[in-house]
Amino acid sequence: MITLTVNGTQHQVDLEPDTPLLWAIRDAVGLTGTKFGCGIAQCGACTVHVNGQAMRSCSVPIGGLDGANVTTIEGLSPDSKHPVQAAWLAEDVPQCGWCQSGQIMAAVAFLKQNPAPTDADIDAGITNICRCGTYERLRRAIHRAADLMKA
Amino acid sequence: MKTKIFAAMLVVLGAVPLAQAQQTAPPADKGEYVARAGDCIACHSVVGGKPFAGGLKMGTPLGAIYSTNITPDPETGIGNYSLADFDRAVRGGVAKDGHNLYPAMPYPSYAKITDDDVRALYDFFMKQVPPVKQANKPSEIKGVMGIRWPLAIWNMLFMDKGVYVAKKDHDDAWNRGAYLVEGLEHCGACHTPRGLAFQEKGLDASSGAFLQGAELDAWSAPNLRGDLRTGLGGWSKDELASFLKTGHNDKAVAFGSMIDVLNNSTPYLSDDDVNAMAAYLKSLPATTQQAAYVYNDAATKELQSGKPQQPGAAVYLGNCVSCHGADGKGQAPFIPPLAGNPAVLDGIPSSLINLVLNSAEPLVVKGMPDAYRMPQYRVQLTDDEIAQALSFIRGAWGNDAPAVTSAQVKAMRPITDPSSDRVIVLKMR
Amino acid sequence: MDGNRTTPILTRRHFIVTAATAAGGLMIGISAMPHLARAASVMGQPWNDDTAAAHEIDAWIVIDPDDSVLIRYQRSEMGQGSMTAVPMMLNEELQADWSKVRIEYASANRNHREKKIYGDQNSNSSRTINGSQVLVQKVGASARERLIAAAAAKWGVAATECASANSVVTHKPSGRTLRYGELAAAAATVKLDKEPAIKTPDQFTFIGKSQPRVDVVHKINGAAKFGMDAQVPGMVYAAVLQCPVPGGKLKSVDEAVVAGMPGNPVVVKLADAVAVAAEGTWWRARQALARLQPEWDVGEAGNTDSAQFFREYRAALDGPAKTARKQGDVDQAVPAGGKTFEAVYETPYLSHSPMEPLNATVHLQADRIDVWVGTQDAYEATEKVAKFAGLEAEQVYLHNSFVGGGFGRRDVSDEIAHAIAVAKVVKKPVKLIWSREEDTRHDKMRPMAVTRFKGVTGADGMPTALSIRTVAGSIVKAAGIPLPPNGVDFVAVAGLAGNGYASIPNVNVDYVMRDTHLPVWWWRAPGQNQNIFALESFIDEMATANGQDPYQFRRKMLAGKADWLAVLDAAAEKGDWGKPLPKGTGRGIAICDDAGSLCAQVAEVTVSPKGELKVNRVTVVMDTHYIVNPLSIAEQAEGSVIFGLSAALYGKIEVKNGVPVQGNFDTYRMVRLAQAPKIDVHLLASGGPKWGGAGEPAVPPLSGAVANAIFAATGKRIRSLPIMDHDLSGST
Ligand code: FES
Ligand code: FES
Repeated sequence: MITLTVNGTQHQVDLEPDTPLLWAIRDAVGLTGTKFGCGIAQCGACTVHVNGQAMRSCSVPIGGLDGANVTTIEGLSPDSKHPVQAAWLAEDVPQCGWCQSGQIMAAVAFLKQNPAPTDADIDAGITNICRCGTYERLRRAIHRAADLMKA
Repeated sequence: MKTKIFAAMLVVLGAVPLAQAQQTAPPADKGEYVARAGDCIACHSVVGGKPFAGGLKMGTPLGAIYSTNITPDPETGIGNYSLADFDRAVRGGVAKDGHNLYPAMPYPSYAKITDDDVRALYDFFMKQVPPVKQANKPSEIKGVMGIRWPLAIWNMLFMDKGVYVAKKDHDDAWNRGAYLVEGLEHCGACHTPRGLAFQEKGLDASSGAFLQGAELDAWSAPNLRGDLRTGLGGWSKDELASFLKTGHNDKAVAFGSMIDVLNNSTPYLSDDDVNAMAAYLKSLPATTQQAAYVYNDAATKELQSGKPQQPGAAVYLGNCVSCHGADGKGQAPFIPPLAGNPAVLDGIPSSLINLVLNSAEPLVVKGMPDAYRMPQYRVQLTDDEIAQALSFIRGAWGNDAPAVTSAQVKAMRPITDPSSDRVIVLKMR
Repeated sequence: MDGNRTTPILTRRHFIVTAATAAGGLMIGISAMPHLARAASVMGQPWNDDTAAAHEIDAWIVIDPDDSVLIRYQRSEMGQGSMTAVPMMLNEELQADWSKVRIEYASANRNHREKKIYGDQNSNSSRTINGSQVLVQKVGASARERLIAAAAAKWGVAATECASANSVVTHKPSGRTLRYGELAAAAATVKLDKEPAIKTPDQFTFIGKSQPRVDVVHKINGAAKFGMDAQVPGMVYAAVLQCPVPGGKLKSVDEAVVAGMPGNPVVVKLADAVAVAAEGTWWRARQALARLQPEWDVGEAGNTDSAQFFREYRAALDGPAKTARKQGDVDQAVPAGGKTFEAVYETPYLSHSPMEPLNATVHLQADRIDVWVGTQDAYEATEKVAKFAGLEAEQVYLHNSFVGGGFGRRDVSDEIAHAIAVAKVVKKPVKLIWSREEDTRHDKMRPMAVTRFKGVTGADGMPTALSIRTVAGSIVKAAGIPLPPNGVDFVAVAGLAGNGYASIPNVNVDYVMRDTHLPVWWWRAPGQNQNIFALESFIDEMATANGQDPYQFRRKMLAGKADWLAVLDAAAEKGDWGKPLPKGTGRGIAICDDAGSLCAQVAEVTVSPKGELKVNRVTVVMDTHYIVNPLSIAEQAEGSVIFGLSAALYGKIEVKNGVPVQGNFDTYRMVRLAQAPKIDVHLLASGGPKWGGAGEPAVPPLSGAVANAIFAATGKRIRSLPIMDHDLSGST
């Protein structure tokens, strides 16, 4: 039994220790905002924060996470008003949306380290795949979020 | 198709005395156990083919050779072999018709196999393995090297050892471990450096070169001796045993050619045998004086700042960090640490380059594939980027191994085959 | 509540029961968060209701006493934005207050029961707008007129004296008003003598103004429910492994090896696949599946590979062919001072690789089946489900969801077939998910093609003859569509046979149908996505060899085609055509008509001396004839450029021993931010009889524009894709 605190709520997860966090979140905890895209840490659709760090949850076995604090897209803000979410709305970023939870979670962590990023910083720092190709707006939205966070 | 490039291992031939003294027949499952320990299947089968029907292509600089059919089919296999014929092939490298075999078979190691085990093996192949009619493919070695005379000389020079003899100054477990490591498991075939004539430079614990680490098949097999950084000096006996049982421990995860061993051999051994191997390996002294590995978190801090200074750190952040972590500690035992991992510290970077370019075949322990797999970076990263990332990794977290050059990556790219992510379990029967 | 019904949390009905009564109507705001309630919206869960609601004007429109308006959208939302745009067209006529509009999916079940009241339900060929426009304008106009008639009757005045705007009907002479909410019940019973005429584009007041997409608010907080997000109490999870060689069959599998694994795995054998269902999590199913070592019957296909396919396709260039287009005589003598050209272009198989791997959740009962899936065609999928399940279409409740990318892949329903087959065995609700590797390798691929061009240019350097022969797989055949009498798959020659360059007097376009064991299917801009690369590159070859500017060369070829020229000229202008560039940087241009729209692009690339390619910028000009929601058209163009760029730079599915090699994003590489160019999009709306599509037309020109830009930068001509297979080092 592994104890995970997900978005502030404690869960006892009765799954094998090699289970990826992604499936614990989706299937055991029941939060489906975190998406499955590749399963091998290539696409970033499954990005969540573990103890404040962005992680690709498909490649994090829960065995080492007993007592960890996990934040998913659902827990990013109580009212969907996080500056990154606001910027995403303003730029109308998502298309199909499947990659977007991961993009947002990656962007939030990225902006903590790079509060005033250049385009080059963004290109190097956000490696999530968007098959719909929302990159143009994504880049703009990250800049906008950085501005919002400054204000 | 799996291809093994053997660096022109012109192996064996010659007359080794037949094993005469046969005791009572061992139980049939003992034979299977011995076959497991000898990992016969890895070379004598091809993916999608019948077990032990041979056909595995082994590239040598002189031309390709193919492993042979060792099922009991009388025409194309070894169905007509007597025990003595079989013994002469296994421990001596001479086929029933008297011609010298070209298999890249580890005779110098197999020569140590006991009569009992040879007989058990014989019984297993004759009675348990279903016969398969499949003709052997001729060797593609042409010209003067196609004449097998050098093998006889080679054999005279390098095959001077007989059946394993227990060392009195060691306990039973150690001796059992030595028998397995030096003999059946033929660890030296990959892990011992080879001399000018491609002979293994040492065949047992008496040689300082034995299991010192070597490069073969575009993989560098690490040092298995007590060297503190590049060897297993930092591993406990239990960690070693767990690695042999599962391919995982808190310090490393198996990859490369070792996958064959884990998929087919050591996990099937008894705990006693695995512990014996671990005990034996732990007894091999270091060959070089090395300071113990000490973790250092400078690289971790650089990565966590999000503003990496070294180009390789940026590549690491973009591609490696989500599994191996900013701290380089991975998520043991599932995802290997890079910090202090002997395979990372290895002087020869072939394995690391190969792994990054091509990933590894899935590790399948007792039929159960690994939960996590290394992605391929062949189409995603340039030679420069791979060299930078590996140089960063080899210098980070206190690792202190030599840098990797773009030229090294460039040289490996065309000669290595991308691995497949498909799970393949070779069946013994 | 219907006793048979699947668990209520899965349907909108539960939402109605638990949440909507406060508003006294059917549908309430999506969120208690006012900043998310942007004008029209949809719920995080787009699953439809299957039965008539209380305050329906008709099957499309529900207006509650509190004035909230529900519009049903009959197609799919996969990111293309038409869940916003189609209701916008309806509302152009309905004249409801957009801020009170909520949108949900129309029910495919109801569509079956009520004689296709919603028409067809597919979202493909970029035709959600074109295929809906007249229909939904009529629906909206009819509802509006009935609301007006109801008001007129209440007031006892003539309907002609009344007008409607913003959910209010006004009696113009007296100034009296009634809200839609007050009129809806009466309006539902009004029978009009004659259905009203629909507005013509010059009368539009709402269409054409950018509206934020209704689905976006749910895609920033994890609320949006996709097929994979369905949760049915008691469901098990299933993973599937199909025969590695497509078309092969399952011979045998040893089920015993999964015994005792966590989640009580159950092995289900299918004709061409093996599946495992497990309790608790999909991971357990996947792990148990990985343990199986099935034996397959792969047949002859097991000995094939890509190199052989390309050899065979090339050889077929000299075999018999069908004629797609013939005008003049391409074999005429080469004119004095003229030149001849010949080149062969090759494009590989590609997979669709939508971001959400294929999946379906099914709950099969004796007389009913519920399916949660993201499909591009809910109507057709319903029919297929009925067949798979052995039920009538009326017994199928297909809850279409947000679609995590389609690109043509999501209307085959093979994933649903798997899920139903598993459900039949385990007798529990099943959520079946394909791994990424399955999704890639068992895609229905974009066909591979080999195309040979022969061109002749006259003394003036302009083409006098063009002969094209393409050897390609047939999507039309795969889809079961009868070939036309000339035996030509019109998709395989799309863009070649009917392109804009009609000025060439002598043209021959031939087609050779050639398939392999890999199944093929519609891929974003089918046919064109590869043909335009080849055609626009070859045109560039002729232009540059004759010392002509590629843009001016095309202008001359398009003489007299005002619409094409407008798009081409705009692209050249916005893309800074002709402005000086540093060494190693070049621009390329390409144009096509696709899905009823025209699109031209200018790409600017830089190639370093080491051969590293960077696409710096892509300028897109697209003429869709009409524009409903400029915002989402621009988004589609931006996305198409990236989609096309992944294919151009990296896309290939190779075959080895009959098995598709690439499986996941490590080997089937995608453009990421670091490779994404700046994209600027300019929209034109030239009007005319047809409404063009927006989802696909910006895909085909991209690879041609990039390849032509590489030529401009390096002098190297790219004649096969992907570009990563070409060594560009030392060329600049
Ligand atoms: S699903 Fe985890 S990175 Fe793709
Ligand atoms: S929005 Fe569809 S994958 Fe990114």
